[in-house]
Amino acid sequence: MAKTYDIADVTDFTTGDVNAHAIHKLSENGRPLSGNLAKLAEAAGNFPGSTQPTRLINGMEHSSVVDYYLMTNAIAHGNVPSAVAVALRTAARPYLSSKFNQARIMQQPLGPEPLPGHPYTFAPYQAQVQAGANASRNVRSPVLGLRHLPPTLNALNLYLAGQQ
Amino acid sequence: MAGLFDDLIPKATPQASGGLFDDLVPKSQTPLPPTPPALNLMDPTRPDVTPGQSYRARIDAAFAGGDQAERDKAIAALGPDAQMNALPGVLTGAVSRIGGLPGEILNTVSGLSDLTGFHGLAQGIRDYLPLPNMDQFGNLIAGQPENDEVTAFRKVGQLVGPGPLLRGGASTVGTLTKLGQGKPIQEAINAHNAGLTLIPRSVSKDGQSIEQQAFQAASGNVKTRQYFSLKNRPVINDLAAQDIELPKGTTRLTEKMITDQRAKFAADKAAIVDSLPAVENDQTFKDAMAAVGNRQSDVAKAFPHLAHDPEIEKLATSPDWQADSYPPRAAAGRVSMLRDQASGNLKAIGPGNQERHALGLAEKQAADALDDLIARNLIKTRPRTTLIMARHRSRITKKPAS
Repeated sequence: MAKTYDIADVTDFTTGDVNAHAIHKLSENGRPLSGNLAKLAEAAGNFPGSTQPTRLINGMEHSSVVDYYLMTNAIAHGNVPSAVAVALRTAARPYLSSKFNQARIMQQPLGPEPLPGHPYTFAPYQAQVQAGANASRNVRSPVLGLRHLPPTLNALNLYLAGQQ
Repeated sequence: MAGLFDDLIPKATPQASGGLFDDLVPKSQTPLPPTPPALNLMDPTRPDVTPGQSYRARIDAAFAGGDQAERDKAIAALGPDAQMNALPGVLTGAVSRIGGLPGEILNTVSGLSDLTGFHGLAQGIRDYLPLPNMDQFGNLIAGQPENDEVTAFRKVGQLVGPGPLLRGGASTVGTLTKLGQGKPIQEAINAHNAGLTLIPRSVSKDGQSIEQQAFQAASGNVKTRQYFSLKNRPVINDLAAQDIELPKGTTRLTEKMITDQRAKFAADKAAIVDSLPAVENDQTFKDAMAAVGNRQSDVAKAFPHLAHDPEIEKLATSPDWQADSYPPRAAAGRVSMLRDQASGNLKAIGPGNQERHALGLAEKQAADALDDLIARNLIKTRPRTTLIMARHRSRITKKPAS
């Protein structure tokens, strides 16, 4: 029940959003937290840039005034590739936050948990699953970090795994 | 200086004499040097020579439509160098890929600068950092390619690059993109597993790969933070909602949702407490109550008059805490009462309110102690069911002393 008070304290009922930084503040002030609130407090303390209160952001323009200036300038001078390059800046953020890239920087494998004996399962990975190791960590295919691979790529994986 | 193939090139026309203004030129002045009779075919500054063009191709171009016997003679003059030699060509190409990489990068930067309108920067790079590109580096270490076949093999070497020499062609791209990517910190893994999306630069303290740096630089610092925070908004809301047993996928919390859940938990807790025959008092509770308000701290012992607060004293030494047992509902009601009083007093902050604030803290400690007493009784009587529910729904962080 105490959690309901904690969450009410950190929720902006105008927007319906929970402020992770406020949860971190509660934790800093000595409020004992557990479960997801403890996880959010830790995340907000360590990664404030990724958990900003959204009320302050109040929506977001994907291109800034500088982007528009550069694009307009490039188009005015007939430099279309330059304009396209500036426009593509906005594509960098979806890429950085994509599941693919997040799994790569966390050095974790992509895709769902494979079933033991699945024909496309990366062989050393499958061995670890059968050995009862923590399958979702540490082991992934050297090619693209994917768990499920066609047989040809699997053969390449085995070769590369042997090289490591 | 006479070139290797001077004899193959038609001699230049001698300069005509007896010009119109010859009499105006002082006779004592040194005459102008004559035009070179012929340019060296191998001279890369020749206007008709394409940079990087093989010797064989130059000869073919020079004798196109001309005397084929002379052409064959020129090719024969190249000697064994003109013969195809695969391995040196490939090796030269592979090495030139490494050696020419800085030059290629600068060329790319220069090209991009030109593309984006920074012509001065592009010109500056070309003027002040004239590093050789891959072809030029190959020419530096192994000379001009003797024929088209050698050129082709060098290209093959450049294409495959140092991959086979170092580790394996297929892993080269992955190795380059992951170069410098540090291991993620444990907090990042925890947040990632909770479903949050993190800005790559904050994930590792050991640095990040060139690729990640490049994308983040392009993305922009402020906008990246905004983008990631907006992306995490529904995840944060959902995680908080799940903690109070709201359905998964709740992305917006309302005050009514929270008060409804609170009422539900209160009813559950009351039902659990009501199931107890009585809340038996114990020594742990009596000790905890005697210590509320830090009355037994070192400061209180050393400075009893300074630390003395009659209200806290009254709370801590109340004979109510010495009873053998309490009716369960009464105990739960007293906890609520203490918490209400505590929250009111704890709001008193600032000069003149220190005593009220200290009383609020003491009341909170008393409420916690009584809550723990109820929990201990629940453990004794219904060890399996009730405590799991109570722990799940309330903020019990330490196991009550049994």
